[in-house]
Amino acid sequence: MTVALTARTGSVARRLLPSATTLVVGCVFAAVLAALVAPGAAATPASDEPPPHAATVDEMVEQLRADPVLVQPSMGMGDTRLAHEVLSQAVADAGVPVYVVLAEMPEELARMERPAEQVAVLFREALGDGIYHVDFLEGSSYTGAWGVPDELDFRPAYIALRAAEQRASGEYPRPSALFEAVLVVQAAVTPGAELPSSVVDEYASQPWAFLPERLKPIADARADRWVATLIVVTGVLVAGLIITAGIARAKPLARGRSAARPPAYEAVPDGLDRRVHKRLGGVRRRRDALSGDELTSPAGERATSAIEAAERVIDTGDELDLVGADVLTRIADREIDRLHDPERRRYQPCFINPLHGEASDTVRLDGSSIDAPVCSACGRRQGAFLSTRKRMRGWEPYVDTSTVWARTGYGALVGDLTEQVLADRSVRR
Amino acid sequence: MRKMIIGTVATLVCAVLGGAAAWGVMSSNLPDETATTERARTAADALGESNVYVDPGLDGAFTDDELARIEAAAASSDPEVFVVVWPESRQAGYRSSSEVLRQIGLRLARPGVYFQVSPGSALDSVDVGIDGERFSVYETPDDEWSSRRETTLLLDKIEENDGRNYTLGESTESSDWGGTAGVVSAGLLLGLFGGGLVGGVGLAGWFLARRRRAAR
Repeated sequence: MTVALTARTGSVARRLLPSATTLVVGCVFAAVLAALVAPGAAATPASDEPPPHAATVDEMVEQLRADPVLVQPSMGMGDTRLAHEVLSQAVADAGVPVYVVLAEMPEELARMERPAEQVAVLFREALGDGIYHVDFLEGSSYTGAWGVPDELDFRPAYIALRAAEQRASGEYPRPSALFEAVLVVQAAVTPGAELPSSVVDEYASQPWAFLPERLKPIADARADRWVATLIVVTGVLVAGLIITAGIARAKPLARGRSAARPPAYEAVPDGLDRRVHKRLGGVRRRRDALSGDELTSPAGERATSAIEAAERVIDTGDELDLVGADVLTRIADREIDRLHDPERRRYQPCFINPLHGEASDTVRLDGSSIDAPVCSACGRRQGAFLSTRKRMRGWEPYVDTSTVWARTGYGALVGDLTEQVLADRSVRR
Repeated sequence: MRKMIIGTVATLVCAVLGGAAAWGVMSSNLPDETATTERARTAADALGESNVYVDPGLDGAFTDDELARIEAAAASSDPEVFVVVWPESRQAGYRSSSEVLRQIGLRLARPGVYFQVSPGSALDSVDVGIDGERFSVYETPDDEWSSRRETTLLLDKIEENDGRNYTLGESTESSDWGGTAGVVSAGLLLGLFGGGLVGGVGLAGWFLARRRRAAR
């Protein structure tokens, strides 16, 4: 039987029957060959020296008689001896005669159609049954098989070739004619079976398996090396110096919440209860030391009323009331001072947090049209409102509570805190 | 001051290490000029005895008389000309004709102009070991091979080459970056911009991380 497989380089092999044209041309060449190839012609002995260049079909036949592998330098991927060795090893394992020709096209075939196919027919006529893989420099490859087992199929070779091509690195990897030939011979070694991927990968990893990529000119590659090195050195120096200078000049940041941003609330400090009681005791003693005239003066009466209001709120257990007692105590203290220094202004606490002390500045509160009296610190940078912790709602600014303190701003917004506190606590009672 | 010293020293060390790494990586991309394919070896060995090498596969492409004229013109040309006549191939272990001509020139170690003549392909040439005026020999090939036409073309090009200004030695000029000044300025400029960008982003990141850490 005759099996013919042809493959244009870069496409999957197609099974073809020898055409009538092929047969006619084959017969003509067979006759020529019969005349040229004398029976019993001495085969060229194999040696280390490369065989002479085979420029004609006859010369190729002569060389194939001596050696079934013919590789010319133009098809040898840079090392014909290595290519020949690789193919010879593969051919030796095949159970049938295998011939491989990777060569320049003989002049006599240049004007023929499908020269590889036609010359394979001629080789078979001259050399007998077997597998013939022919790939010319200027054309497509052809694999013809005569007198081989039915199960012989070269499709696995081309499937493996396409798979290796897809796995290969590079922009447009293209298998070499040598790689294709090796896989075709391997398919002949194991007829009907798929090529082991380990074998294909081993061949695909060889430098001759794919056509080389375009190399960058040496001057360009050297310039690229210098540019890349300069970029890295300069870039690292500049980046490093910027970061170093920035870090070295950065002012140290105080650790803790207050350094990063103002707190969202200010709580009533621990120990305030003791301090307020102590201050109230002191004010009472000052009030008791006043004369009758002083006690009946307006300032003396305001001091007495403030002390009375403070006494009503100091022990309620409410944090805001405790702060109120502190403010009322300070009001009383100031009013006693005013008995001897009427020019002193009446006590007005910081609206933001009365515990900051007396107001000495004003600030336009966020979202308000009122300039509220505040301490000097809150005048520079508004702090958080005095807040009280609610069980379910978390921290709540005192100004948001329903207390007399919210309405009066602890006396920052009104001049009659004492009266309003006394009225508030009278109503409650 | 201590931070400044530590930062500067660390920067210098990183710059040296980074530069060495970049040099190493880019060196691996340099074409291996010591590798020579079989065809180039054969042609170079032959060109040691004659200025024209004709591959056995193209024996007869030129007549003896034509070869003698080409040989005489090539040998007397300044810079010297070497001519390789063979079928062009992509299955011979190199990608382009300029690659294999350069391999031949480097193996032969004779400065000059190396021509490739291939039937059906454009005449091509490459300068090896010389740095001279731009010289192009590209000509669209005719469909039909004519040794007479090719000889005339080749002799014209050799005559055009003869007497052009050149100096011995390879040009270091890059088609991408230009000469040494271009290479240095490109490297410094890109490094300055890139380093400035990376430094600014790095410093901003450091400040943000520092603030976040301090806020905890």
